[in-house]
Amino acid sequence: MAPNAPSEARSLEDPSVWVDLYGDYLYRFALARINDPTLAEDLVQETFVAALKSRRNFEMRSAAKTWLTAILKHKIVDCIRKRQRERIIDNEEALDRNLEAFFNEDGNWKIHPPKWENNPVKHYEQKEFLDILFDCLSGIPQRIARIFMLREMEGLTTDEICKVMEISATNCWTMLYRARTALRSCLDLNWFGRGL
Amino acid sequence: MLMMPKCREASRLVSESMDRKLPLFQRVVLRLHLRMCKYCHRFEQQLLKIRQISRHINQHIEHLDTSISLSDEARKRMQSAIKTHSGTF
Repeated sequence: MAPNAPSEARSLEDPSVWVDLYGDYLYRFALARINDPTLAEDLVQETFVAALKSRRNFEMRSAAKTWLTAILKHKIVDCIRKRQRERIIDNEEALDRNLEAFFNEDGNWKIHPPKWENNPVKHYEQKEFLDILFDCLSGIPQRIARIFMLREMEGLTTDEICKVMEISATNCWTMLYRARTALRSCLDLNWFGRGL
Repeated sequence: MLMMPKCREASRLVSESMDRKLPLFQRVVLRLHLRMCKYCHRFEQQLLKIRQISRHINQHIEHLDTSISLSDEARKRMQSAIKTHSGTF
């Protein structure tokens, strides 16, 4: 770690070291989600270019690696979304109708959240689980998926998200609610509910 | 006159409570509701689980297969893309 530290610290100002410092790492991450070497390379390259564009906004906030990985994750989700356009709820109203279906007219659960039996603590170490999670994320409207990722993966606060996405706090909470509900039911169907 | 939220409202409050500290009244009625309603309680546990898993993903990716690396050709292409765009932005 020590020999890398100085270059890591300077790396935001100096994009010429990005490929050497983070290229392989980002490529592995992309390949693990996308399973297509050429496409994975393209996504990494797009990540670098997107990073150049928005470099100034992020300089103060995070280490270059964290920030590049965050950009790459958004690109991966967008990419999976493009591939599977047909089965995607791409408008936010449809997502709401989906959400409403869980409750009956007097506001109680109509479809009860089932128990998540398929337990092991370390889902996140299982490639298959991560594939399903990214797949589920790709299936919800882009803006909502983005907000979810900023909040739950990158750990930004609502205030920070409001600035980045230019929305109100109330709007942000609503979208996070929709995202979480949609993901919960997607994971229900595709992971936890398997074998029932 | 304590108005207990219905599950629809409770589920919304569960989510909102993960993003900010709810006002006292809402916090109290939500906790009461969750104590009585196993489905909303379960809903909350599941949202927290999704959060836990999502946050862990950043650590998980440290364990990727290190034998995989970019080809020299791709590396050069990226270097030159960065060089081209560095001047532009």
